[in-house]
Amino acid sequence: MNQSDIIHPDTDTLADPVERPGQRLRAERESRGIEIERIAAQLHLRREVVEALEQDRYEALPAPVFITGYLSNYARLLGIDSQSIVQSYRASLSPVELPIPHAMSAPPRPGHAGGLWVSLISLALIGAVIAMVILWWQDRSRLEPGFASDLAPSLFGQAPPAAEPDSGTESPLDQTSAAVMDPPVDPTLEPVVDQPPPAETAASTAAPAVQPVVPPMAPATPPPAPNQPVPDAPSQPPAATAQPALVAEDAEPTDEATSAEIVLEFSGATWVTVRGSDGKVVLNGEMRDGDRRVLGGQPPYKFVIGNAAATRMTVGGEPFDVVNRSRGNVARFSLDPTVE
Amino acid sequence: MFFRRIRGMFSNDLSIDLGTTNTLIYARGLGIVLNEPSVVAIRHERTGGGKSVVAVGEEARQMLGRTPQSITAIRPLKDGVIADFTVTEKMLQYFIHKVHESRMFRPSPRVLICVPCGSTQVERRAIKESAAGAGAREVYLIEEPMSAAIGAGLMVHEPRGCMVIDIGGGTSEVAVISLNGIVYSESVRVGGDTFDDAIINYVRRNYGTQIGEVTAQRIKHAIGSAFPGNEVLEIEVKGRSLAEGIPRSFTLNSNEILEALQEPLAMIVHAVKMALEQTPPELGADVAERGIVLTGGGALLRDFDRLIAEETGLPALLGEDPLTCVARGGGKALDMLDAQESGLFATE
Repeated sequence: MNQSDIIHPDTDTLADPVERPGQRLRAERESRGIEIERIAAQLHLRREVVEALEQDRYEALPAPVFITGYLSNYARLLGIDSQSIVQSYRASLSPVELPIPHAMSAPPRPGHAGGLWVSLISLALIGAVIAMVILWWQDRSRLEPGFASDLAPSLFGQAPPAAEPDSGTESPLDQTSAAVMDPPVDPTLEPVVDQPPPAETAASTAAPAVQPVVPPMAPATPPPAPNQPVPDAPSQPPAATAQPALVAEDAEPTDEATSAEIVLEFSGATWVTVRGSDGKVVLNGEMRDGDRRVLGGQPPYKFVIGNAAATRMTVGGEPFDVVNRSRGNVARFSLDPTVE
Repeated sequence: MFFRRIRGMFSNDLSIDLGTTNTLIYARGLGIVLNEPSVVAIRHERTGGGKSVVAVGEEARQMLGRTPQSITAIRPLKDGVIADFTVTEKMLQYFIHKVHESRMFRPSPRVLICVPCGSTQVERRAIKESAAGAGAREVYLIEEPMSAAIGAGLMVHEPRGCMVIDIGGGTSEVAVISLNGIVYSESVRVGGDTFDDAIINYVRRNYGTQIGEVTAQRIKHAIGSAFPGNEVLEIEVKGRSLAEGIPRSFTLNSNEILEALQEPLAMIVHAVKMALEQTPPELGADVAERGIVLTGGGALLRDFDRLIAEETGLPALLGEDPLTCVARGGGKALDMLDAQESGLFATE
């Protein structure tokens, strides 16, 4: 390639390690003593085009596909490897030089918005559904620390009675294993209750969680007053009417704080739902001003009180702050008076 | 419709070159993901006259001409259009599924399919329906020469004429394109398959020997040429002698094959000359200035560009990677789809 260097010293001065294809073609042609006009005639190209090719002036030539074709045809005509010529042309082509068709950068017309909108709306809908599920889940776990106890009665319905429904956020499987190894309740997972008597604690924890009939607390509570009918009976769902004896109203003002008895007193109209350990409804219905209820059933309880401000609650004679546990005047919480 | 959209989010947009011989699929952002023969092998059930697909693509191609009675290996496309609607649908379904392997959703991509510019409305609708039946969410059609020109890297949007010759398996398309539109197009039902048939006929006539399609294709690839070259190539072939009925081998050379291909080649040259004649003078001048671009698998026939150049007196050049030009062009057109260059797309 010394020859080409002598012929075109200027084109090689640039720090270009790749040999220019046009330069090589020209050197080849001149070494054979072929006139440029003859090449142009054989390739059916104008003389200027062939000159531009030989001088590697690609800006004077049409799109790269044509240049590649011309170079390859030229190389074939001279009987040299067209592949290497085309490759060296491609190597000399910087990526910036590659033309970008006008159509690709054209801005979208407003008419296209329809398809875009539909996909945006469907994405938004899916996002909203996912967000709602996450919110609901978080809400549920935050407001009800012992929400797993919801599942516990059904999951452990056939399980050994050692299963503890109050183990908080543990998964049911973990619960079983934990309960087998360590039957006492973990007090840190429970809402702290002010003064649960220790004797009662032992009694109720030992009691089977799925016991459906008489709760152990029932004997401790005074018998329901027969002279006063249960006022909320008509508004109760069938589940609640199935066990009306458990909802006891105490007409006596005397304090029966011999155990961790829970007494609810209402100073205004509110609705209340209290569920016992096995998910059974202990108290359900609308309460009126002046109503007073003593809870039966199996602890732990799950409370939903519609008007927390109008509710006064005592656990074993000690006042229990309902308002503190409410959000927007609706209180949702779990409570096990037998656990410290 | 809604679920198709959701499934579509998990699918790639595809550009399909549904050819008579080969089907190529270009997936947006991935390049050419499939290149298989358009062949389906079908088993005819003994009871009830039912049919089931045995193999598709390369596997089925190897069965061509080698099947037992219960199986037929067929090409569902003829001359660039659908000859067997249900089989085409099955084939497309298989290919679309294949390029979406390891996805848990059934793919529902947007699909751009190339159609010969000479195809009728009925043929276009058949292709559209077939793709929709194969699971495509939306189907767009583009005329093959347009797609080939884009794939070859021609500036189709410029107000300058460029001529493309796309030689496919079943058809050859000649078109002059300017400003994103086809100014003139001509489709001749001559292509790679015709070359094979010409070789089969030549061998039968001159050697009294029957050869199969696959052998003819092998001959074409090895020694076929469109223009007399300096060197003469030879190949040894085996076929069944018509007189004796037994297989025998003989030698063919490239000049014989060139002679065999004269007729189909002349038809393509005629179509090109017709196109040049019909092209408006300004665009004709542009073509003469820059040259004719050849694409398609048929253009790989040795010295095809020289034949065109010598016959027309214009520069002729081979596009880069001519086999995949159409599919790649379709892929670029998919990008333009979002930019709404609707002028590019063919109407039904």
